[in-house]
Amino acid sequence: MQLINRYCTATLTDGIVHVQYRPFLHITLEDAQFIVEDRIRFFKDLRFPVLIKEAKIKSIDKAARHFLFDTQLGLKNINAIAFIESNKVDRMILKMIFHQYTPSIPHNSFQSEAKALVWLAQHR
Amino acid sequence: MPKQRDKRIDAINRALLEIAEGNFRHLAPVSDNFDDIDAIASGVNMLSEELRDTVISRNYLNSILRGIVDMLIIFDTDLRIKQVNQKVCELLAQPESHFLNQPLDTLFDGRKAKFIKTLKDSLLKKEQVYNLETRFKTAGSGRLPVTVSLSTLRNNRECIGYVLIAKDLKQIQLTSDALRQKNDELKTLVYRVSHDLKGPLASMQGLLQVIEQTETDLPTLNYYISLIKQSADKLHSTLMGLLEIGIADRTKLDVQKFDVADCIYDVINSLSNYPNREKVEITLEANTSVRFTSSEKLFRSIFQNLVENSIKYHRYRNNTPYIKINAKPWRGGIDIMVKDNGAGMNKAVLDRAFDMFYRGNHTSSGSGLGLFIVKSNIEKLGGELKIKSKPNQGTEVKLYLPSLDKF
Repeated sequence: MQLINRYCTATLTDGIVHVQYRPFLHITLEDAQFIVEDRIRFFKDLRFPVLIKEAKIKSIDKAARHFLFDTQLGLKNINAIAFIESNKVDRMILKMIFHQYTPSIPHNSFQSEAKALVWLAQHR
Repeated sequence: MPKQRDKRIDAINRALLEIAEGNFRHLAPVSDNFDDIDAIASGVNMLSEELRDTVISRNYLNSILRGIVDMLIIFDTDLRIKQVNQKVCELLAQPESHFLNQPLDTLFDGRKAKFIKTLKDSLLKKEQVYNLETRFKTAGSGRLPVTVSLSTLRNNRECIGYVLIAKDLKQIQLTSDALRQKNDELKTLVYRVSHDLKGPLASMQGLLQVIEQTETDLPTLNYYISLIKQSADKLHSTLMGLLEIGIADRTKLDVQKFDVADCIYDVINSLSNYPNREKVEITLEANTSVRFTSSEKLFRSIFQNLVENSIKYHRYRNNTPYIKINAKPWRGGIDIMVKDNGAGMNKAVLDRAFDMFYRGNHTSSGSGLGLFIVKSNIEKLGGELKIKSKPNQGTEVKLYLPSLDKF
C-alpha cells in the first residue's frame, strides 16, 4: 500500500509504514492536519509503527508540532515512531520534539535505517 | 585573506536581537545546506516560539491569579512557597515577602504539625487532596478557618511543584450564623406575636363579656374600661413595635444630610407627653453644626427608643433622674453617647437586652422590642453599639454611625 500526496510518500512494508517527506518543507498546522487526515483516510483503522526517513524539513511550527505529536491527533493509530537523523537541522528539531512534546508512544532516533527497522519490528 | 563572513550568521544575530526586544515573529532563515548554521537558525526559531508562548502563558496566568477570589499558593517540590496571590496577603494580613521562599509550615501555627505531616504524606501518595478543613495563621496571632485543596503541578510527567487553593470559611460561617440567628428571631417573632397579641385581646374580650353579662355600677364600669384601655395600649405598643421592625426591614435605605442636634432635639420634644417625662432631665451636648449623612428616619427611631427606655426605667427613688446625650463627629461618622442614672440592668438581663420581645422587668408595660429595634437599625446603618449598665446606677449606651455619603 502506498500513499502519495504533496507532502510525503508513505509506504506500508512488512507491517511498518515508511514515510519520506518532500525536501525543504516549512510545515504549518494546516499542513500537519492535512498530512494526518490523509494518512487516516488512506490507512483507515490500521495500526502500525512508522519510520520517518531522511526528511530535510526546514521547520515545523509550534502549532504543527503540538498537533503532530498529540496521541489523539497526529499519533493516532501509530504504535511507535522512529526518526532517521540525517543532518544537523533534523537533530535540532528532534531534540525539541522529544523534550517538549515527549510522544506518549515508544519513540527513538537513529542514524541507521537498518537499526531503526530492527527497533520498530518489535512494535508491529 | 579573511574568510567571508556567512550572511546567515548576521541573519541569526538579527533574529536574536528581535527576540530580545520581544518580537517573537522574526525568524532566522534556514538554507538548503542543512549544516551547523542552519541547525542553529532552526533552534533559534523554535526557541523563539516557545519563549513567546511562555510570555503569553505567564501574562495569562497572572491575569487568572488576579481574578481568583480564593487564596492561591504555589509551592516548589520542597514545599517552599514560590508565589501567592493578593487574596493571601489580604486575608492573612501579611505582605507577600512574608511568605516567599518560606516552608508550608509558615501558614500554620505550631499546633498544626500533625496536620502538615498528614498533608505532605497525602500528596506523596495522591495527585490531589481535596477540601480539608484547617486554620491558617494570621497576623497578630489570629486564625482564619479555611478549607484547602492541593494538587500536583507537572511539566510533562515530572512533578515541578504544588498548587494550593484555600477558601475562607469565616465568611461562610458568619453568613450561616447570621441566617441561623434570623431564623431563630423569626421563630421567636411568630411565637411572641401570637402570645402578645392574644393576651391583651383575650383580656379585652373577657372584660367585655363581664360587662355584657353582669349589671355593673358606674365606678365598676369605669374600672373595667380602664383595664380594657390598658390591654388596648399593650396591643397598640406591640403592633407599633412590629410595624417599626417591618418598615425598617422592607424599606430601602433613604439617605439624606441632616443636622444631628436638630434631629435629637426634635425627638426629645416629641416625647414631651411621654409618661414620667417631666421627672427626667434631658441634656444634649452636641456641636450644632454637625451635619451628617444617613437615614434620618432610622436615626430618629434609634434615639426615640433609647430615650423612651431611659425615661421608662428611671429610678423612682432618685431625686434627680437625668439622661445625658453627647454627639460628636468622629472617624468620618458620628459618635453618640446616651447615659442615664436609671434602674440599670444586671449582667443576666444585659446579655439579653437586645433580644426580640425580651423584657428584663416583668412588670414593665413595654413590648420588649425597643432595644431590638435599636440594634437592628444600627446594623442596617453599618454602625456599632456598646452598652454598659449596673443595677441602681444606670445605663450608658455608646454608638457609632458611619456617614453614608457614598450612597
